[in-house]
Amino acid sequence: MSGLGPKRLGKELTKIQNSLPPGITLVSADNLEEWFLDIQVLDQNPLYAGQTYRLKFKFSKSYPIEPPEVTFTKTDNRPIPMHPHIYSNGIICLDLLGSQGWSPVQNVESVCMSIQSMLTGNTKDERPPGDEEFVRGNRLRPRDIDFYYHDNTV
Amino acid sequence: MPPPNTPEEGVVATNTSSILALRPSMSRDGGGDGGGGGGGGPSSAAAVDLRLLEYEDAVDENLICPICRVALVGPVITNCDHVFCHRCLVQAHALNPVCPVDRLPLKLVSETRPAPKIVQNQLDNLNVRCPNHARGCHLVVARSLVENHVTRYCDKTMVPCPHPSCEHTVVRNDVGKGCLHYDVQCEYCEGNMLKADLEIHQDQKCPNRKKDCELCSAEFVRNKQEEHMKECPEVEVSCKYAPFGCTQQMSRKMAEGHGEKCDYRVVGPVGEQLAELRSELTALQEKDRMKDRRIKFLENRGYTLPASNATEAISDISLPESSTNADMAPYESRDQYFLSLFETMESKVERLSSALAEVEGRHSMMLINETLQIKDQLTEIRSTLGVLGMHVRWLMNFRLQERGRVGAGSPAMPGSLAGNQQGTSDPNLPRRLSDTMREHPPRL
Repeated sequence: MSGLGPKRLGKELTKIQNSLPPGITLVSADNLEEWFLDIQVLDQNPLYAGQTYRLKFKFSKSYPIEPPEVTFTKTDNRPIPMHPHIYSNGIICLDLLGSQGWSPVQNVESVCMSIQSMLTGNTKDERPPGDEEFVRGNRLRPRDIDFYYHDNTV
Repeated sequence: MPPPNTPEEGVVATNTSSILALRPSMSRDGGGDGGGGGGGGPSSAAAVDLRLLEYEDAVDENLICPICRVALVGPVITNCDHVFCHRCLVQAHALNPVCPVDRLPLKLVSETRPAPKIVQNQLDNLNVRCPNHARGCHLVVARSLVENHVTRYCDKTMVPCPHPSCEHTVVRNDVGKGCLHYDVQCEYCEGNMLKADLEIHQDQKCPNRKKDCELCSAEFVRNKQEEHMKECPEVEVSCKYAPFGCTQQMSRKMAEGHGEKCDYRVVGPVGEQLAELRSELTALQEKDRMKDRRIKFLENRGYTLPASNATEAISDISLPESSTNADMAPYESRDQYFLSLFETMESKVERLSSALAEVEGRHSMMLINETLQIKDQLTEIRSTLGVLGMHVRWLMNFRLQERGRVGAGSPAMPGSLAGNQQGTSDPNLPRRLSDTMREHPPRL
């Protein structure tokens, strides 16, 4: 793993500082462990129109071999988006972010775009089944949760 | 499932030529891993991690590993035509046994092979900065050569401290200065540090390292004061016509103006010409000396180089450039160089043969001295042996005579002894004649 992660993250950072796809903005990347990005859904999906959501990326030492930990964080004007795969504590159920679905060729930008498109395609204004219970009981880190990807159409 | 901007790889190498299969798989693992060190053990194996190098120019996107996002190191290509660093693929594969790009199931051994040579050559030719960049080596070199540079030549490589009981490392340049791992105090910030780190500290880290020049008020690094003094516009310098007699001192920026109206400027051009002529003269003298030498050589040997042949023959020998730089300087042509080389060789051979003769002479003298002594002793021993033999023979004769006279009464001298033997050896006396010496050694 020797020092591979920081080098690659540094490269990614310089790249996204220069240019990012529309609807994605870098908020802060003070170190190579935790970054914040804002995303917006650009089409007129009534669920998300006009809203901005904040994503938190946490990188382990073995990034990019292992996936980063990506969650939504809630602040005053940054809610958690409604989505059948997003728990109300910000944890995202996306196979891309699990050990199985992750691929080291992914990067911060591509993950953001995946989440963006996941929101864009959604029409259901609901939380995942068992959300309350999960939010109350979960002490695991997102990548250790064994999600059941029940609905690949969303 | 892959998101829209998943990097599209595998454009590089779609040609699955069979020649490439001849390369043992993983032979290029990490390039810097097994290469140049030549079995120097694990320490030299990690001398240069090619993945951490800085590239001088932007690297073609097609040569970048989609996993680590730097130029490929030890590239391998999968059967689905995606190229990765060998180590990246191994790491990614350990977590998830699929191709990282298209997520098709992938067997590491049977479905990957080293990338085509042309890709590896392209990677080898990329210019990288020396990894000792931070310590001041500004070399830019092809990636395939960087390991060699770092392990053998780079002055800024960290090597073990020359002091036997010191476990620190030191830049190669400072090896000759002995152990630098003792505490010193930085004279600018009064911090304590190892002597070995002092220079870098004063150049780059010390909070008080900068100083305003008292004369020109430009800021400079204290440690580089001398360098600044050489270019500071306010420093007092002497007029450029000083060698011709101008004694005026003025600041550097004024010197230019002064030069134009210096009283000695008339002399200047003449002086320059003089210096030029002088240097020409020395060059000519040198040339003359060479010619003399050559003439002498040719006269002595009565040997003439057939000019045309010689130059032709020699012209296709390329001179060893680097080693001859110093020696080459005085020589005008290759012929001369070879001639002088020949002369020195000859004198060397002469010296050697005379030394050899001397050694030979000394050797034989020594041998003679030794052998003479041995010869003397040998003759001495021989004579003693003869005397002993005589004694023995006399005694034997004596004994035989005595036995011959058995019964005729015991002789006077070995009385009791002869009497004892008489009884035991009497019956088989006649056939024991020759054995008597062994069985009954004569007691003298």
